[in-house]
Amino acid sequence: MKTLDRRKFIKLSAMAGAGVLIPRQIGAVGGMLEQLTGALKSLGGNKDVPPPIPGVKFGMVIDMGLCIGCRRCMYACKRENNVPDTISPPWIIVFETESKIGIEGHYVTPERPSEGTTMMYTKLRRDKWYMPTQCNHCDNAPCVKVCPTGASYKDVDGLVVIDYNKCIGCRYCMTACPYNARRFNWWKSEIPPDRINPLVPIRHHGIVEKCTFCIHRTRRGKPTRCVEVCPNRARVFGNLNDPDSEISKLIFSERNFRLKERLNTEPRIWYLTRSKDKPMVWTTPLPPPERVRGVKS
Amino acid sequence: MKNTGRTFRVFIGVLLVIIMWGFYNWGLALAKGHGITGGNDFVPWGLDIVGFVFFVGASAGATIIGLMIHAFEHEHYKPLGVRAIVFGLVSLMCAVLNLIMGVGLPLRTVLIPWVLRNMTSMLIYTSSTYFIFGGLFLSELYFTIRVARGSTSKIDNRMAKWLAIIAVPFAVGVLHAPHGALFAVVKAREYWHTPLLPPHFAVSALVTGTAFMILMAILTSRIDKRELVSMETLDHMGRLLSLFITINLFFDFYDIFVLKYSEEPEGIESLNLLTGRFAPLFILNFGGLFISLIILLFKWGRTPKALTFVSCLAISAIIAYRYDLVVVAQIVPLLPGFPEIHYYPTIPEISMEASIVALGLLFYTILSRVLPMEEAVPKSPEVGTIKRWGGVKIE
Repeated sequence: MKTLDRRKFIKLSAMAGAGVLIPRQIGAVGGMLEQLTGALKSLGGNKDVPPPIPGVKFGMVIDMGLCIGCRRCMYACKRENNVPDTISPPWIIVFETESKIGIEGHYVTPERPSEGTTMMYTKLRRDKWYMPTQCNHCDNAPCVKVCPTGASYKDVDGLVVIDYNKCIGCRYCMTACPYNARRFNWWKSEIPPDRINPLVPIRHHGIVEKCTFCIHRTRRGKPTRCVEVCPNRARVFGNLNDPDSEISKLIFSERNFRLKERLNTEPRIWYLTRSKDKPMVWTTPLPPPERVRGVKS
Repeated sequence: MKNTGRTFRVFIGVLLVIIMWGFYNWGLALAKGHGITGGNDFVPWGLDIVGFVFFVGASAGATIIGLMIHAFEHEHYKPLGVRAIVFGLVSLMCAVLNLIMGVGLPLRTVLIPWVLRNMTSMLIYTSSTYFIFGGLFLSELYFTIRVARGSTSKIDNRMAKWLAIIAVPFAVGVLHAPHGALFAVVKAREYWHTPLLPPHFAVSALVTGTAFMILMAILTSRIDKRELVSMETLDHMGRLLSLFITINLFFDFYDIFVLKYSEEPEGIESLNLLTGRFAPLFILNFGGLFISLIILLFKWGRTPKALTFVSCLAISAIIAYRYDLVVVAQIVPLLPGFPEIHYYPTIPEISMEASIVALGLLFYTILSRVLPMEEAVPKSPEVGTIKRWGGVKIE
């Protein structure tokens, strides 16, 4: 029987190991080093987003009575925020549900969903209810709590923000979010250059993203894109700290609820069910600009 | 180096091929994206996290041998002492590798917890414990090897003893139970959100660790054609395993009982999945542990052949439990109206997991040939006088 001395064995093992590691990953390592330096640079603060406006606390109201389920918000959000096609479902999901009386005087509640609730509907129907969902920017956000790197954080203006330079892509936040609002970049993002919004960073594959309440617009005094394009004005976005704002008045409406309130996440999106009987008024949404969506800086 | 015959070289060659295959696919995942795995936005955690918690458990469970030798003075466990530490270290490496291969941007993980940290995250806590546990294991290995080499120094003996004793509460309470908490704190998932999960994790770690130690003792004896430990030791390990399996079954039962009794919609949905789409794994988990326990209750059930079967069954049952726990909770839709959610591990994902196992085996094989694996055992009256089982004939 042949014998192999220890040194020779270790040398052979090391060579085999190097042979496995080197060729495939040399390119990937270059990219990873960039990510490492990016993380170190972002220690002073998130460089990708404008600073918060002092004294402002953002929130949103969605009137399910006015939502007609057209999914304009979903598509506009996708284009505005450079969400690639590989991310599915996109940041906003719209559910179709039955109009039955549920608990606490609401017609529908997410805790007691009626039969036939679906996100896969193909026809818009007057006898149905539609409920768009997205990141709720919770005050007591579980995703922020579990993020190991501090990449997800709650900013002073109420937005839950992801610092893409700190995210390692562990996806703990995705499992912790009770609303399934977070998306992972499973594939390399490929967006045609003429469709890229220069105000929004393109996310590297391997990191998590979600609705930002259009941080690049709202922190510059503009409404979110989903609010802007809603044809029936079902969405209201504004400053909760301003008692005269429309949103501040709406959240005291009798028929409002928030998703999964029993979890004590304190979501910043309120749903109204009061306006179902209002006559449908189609307003003209702002047309998306030809080349660049978002705010001209 | 001893025993480098043809079988050994083929074994190492196969391991290297598996490692290359897995690392090639990891390279693909880094270059193209983790979309090559079966994960999706509804089931973001897959086989990587299943492997991660399984290996952390195996690593923690292996400390039981040190406890037997040093705290309970079962000297007959000594031939397994160094092997258990090496196994624990290799398992810990496999666990961390699972985590590194699973995350999207692995190089950034080197900044945790030194530069990037959020102290409210359970993951920052658990990842910090790897450094401490790894250090503890290495120190224990150092002193145990010194003792095995015949050191009579009091410091060496005391350090080897106390590090082995400290390792158990650390492994079970500080290392592995918090991995249960990693899931238990997620209030979004009904199946995870139970205070029973941390102790359940700790017990399943002990089941895994003990089963692996039994397998290791038997396989090493078969390969080396000698008796590594006595029949008495195997019998004792079988009894230990039956105790841990009983406690584990207790937790398994109450997990399911509470889900069924409370009738929370998501809990019921989890239960429907467990007994429906995931029934084979559910049966393997419960049935495997139950059958193992029944076999271990008999004297013949603690013989080498039966113990080999029982250990394999118990390990498979714990893998099934880990898989069900990680995957089923994520398959339950968080909002009504989601389409039916699926998760199937892909071939590249399986290859990555296989490469981690192969790397663990390779490291263990190398270390077992480089390090002195056995301490001198005081001759037990049983060895050589009662039954011989390791393929050695009685003269």
